[in-house]
Amino acid sequence: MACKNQYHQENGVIWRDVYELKEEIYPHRERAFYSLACNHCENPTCLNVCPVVAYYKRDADGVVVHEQDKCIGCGNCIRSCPYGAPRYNPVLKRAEKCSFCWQRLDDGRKPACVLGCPTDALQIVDLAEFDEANAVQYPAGFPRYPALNPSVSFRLPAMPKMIRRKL
Amino acid sequence: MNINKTAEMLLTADAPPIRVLWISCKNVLSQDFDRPKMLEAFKKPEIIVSVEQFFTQTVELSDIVLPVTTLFEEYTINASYWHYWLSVNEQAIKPMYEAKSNIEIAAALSARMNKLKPGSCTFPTEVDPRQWMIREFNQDIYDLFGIDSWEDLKNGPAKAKMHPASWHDLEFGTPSKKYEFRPDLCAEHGHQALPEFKEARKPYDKLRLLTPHTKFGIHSQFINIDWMAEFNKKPYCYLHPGAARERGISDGDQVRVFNKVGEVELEVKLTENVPADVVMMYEAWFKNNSYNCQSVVDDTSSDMGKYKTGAPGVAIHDQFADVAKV
Ligand code: SF4
Ligand code: SF4
Repeated sequence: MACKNQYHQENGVIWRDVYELKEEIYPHRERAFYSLACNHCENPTCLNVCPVVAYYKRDADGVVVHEQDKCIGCGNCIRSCPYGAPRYNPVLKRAEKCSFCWQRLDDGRKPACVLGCPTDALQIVDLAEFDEANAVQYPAGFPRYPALNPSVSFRLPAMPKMIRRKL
Repeated sequence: MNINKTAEMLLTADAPPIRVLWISCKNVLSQDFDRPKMLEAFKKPEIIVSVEQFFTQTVELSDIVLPVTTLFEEYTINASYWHYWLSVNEQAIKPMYEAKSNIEIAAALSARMNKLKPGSCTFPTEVDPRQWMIREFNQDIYDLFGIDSWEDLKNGPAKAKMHPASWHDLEFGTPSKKYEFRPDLCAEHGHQALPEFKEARKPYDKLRLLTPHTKFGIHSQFINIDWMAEFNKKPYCYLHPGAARERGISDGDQVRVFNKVGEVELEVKLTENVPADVVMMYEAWFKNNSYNCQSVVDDTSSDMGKYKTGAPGVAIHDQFADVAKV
């Protein structure tokens, strides 16, 4: 919602969404979630399939930027991104996706989602330096696409201890 | 009046009876208990005026609706429940269309009443909302928040200089400043000074019904806003798989939650997060959706609450209902 609050995308256009973990992955419904958006992949298929090169990847921080004014709305990126990050804006008839709030980054601020998260579940890290035993690139339920090499890392949730009263 | 029994009060007050209902800063039909009784009660006043930003279920039943300013259109002070922060809300845009702030509406009403019958209303007949806001401050407030002027709040909110924990100074907030095993205060307010066993409210249906607050709103506010609704589209009730099996209910079924008060119809999610003898659904007002949990919550008083708030609370944790597949 911090993202919606920041950009007020058209109704139905969501850049970052929160997905409930299935009970096979985490034993309680609506108690553990992945917050997912564009992964700013090392080898972004969105960029590779765009006929008008409406995407570029920033050298300094790797953010994959979509330039909406160049976009002709062909839908290639929307169809080819296996993470479903680019969405179709039905009003502008063009694609759009998470910008990593690059304008905020350039201004020394955090992205809206990171700023808005009350539990610090979202953080920006430098993947070149980030090294944590419990962190994985592909947690259960998150699609594995090594060819794209998504720039994300997940700290796995600790499994809850079940204490149940006999009913 | 007991504010937790709005419907009952509207129906039974007779010395004098309530002839005009003026509703402001509250969505009575979504927040107050026993909706079926409220629908009856709303037939009683000769005129119902509501001051609102949205077309709520309360507005649907009002004779006159006055559009009120949003936080973007007015100067006001924000002080909230459950935290110590105070902030100033500056007007960002002029009020749109016919919207007026609550204070301006009150002043206009006062002006008209005094024209019809001089002296009939003591509220000022002309107010400037910004001046009115400034008058909400005094030295005590400045001291409490460690500021010199309300204008200091333009730099950011201020936090009350209060300790967040009780007993931090090794004193309790009791008259004796000690832990009281036999509090006279309790006895003075109609309770037993010494604890005694009291039987809980007897279940009148098969499942305990819980209607807590949702993370997506405050009572009926915010849930209706388009961009919030993207993440919380519609209401659900939550039921234990065991309770569902007994009733032939599967995950995602459309169900009725019903009791002696009334019923609601919605989709069910099965989860062991709720005990087997509980049905849970959130208090909410969704846009273009008639869902209302108060259709199955009655207004029976709880035993405590009068000392702090002037009226006993409502036994919202002792409500009962059953669920059936539609
Ligand atoms: S997640 Fe999809 S949209 Fe984002 S960089 Fe990777 S391929 Fe492109
Ligand atoms: S929809 Fe726009 S950004 Fe995506 S591939 Fe087509 S032109 Fe490029």
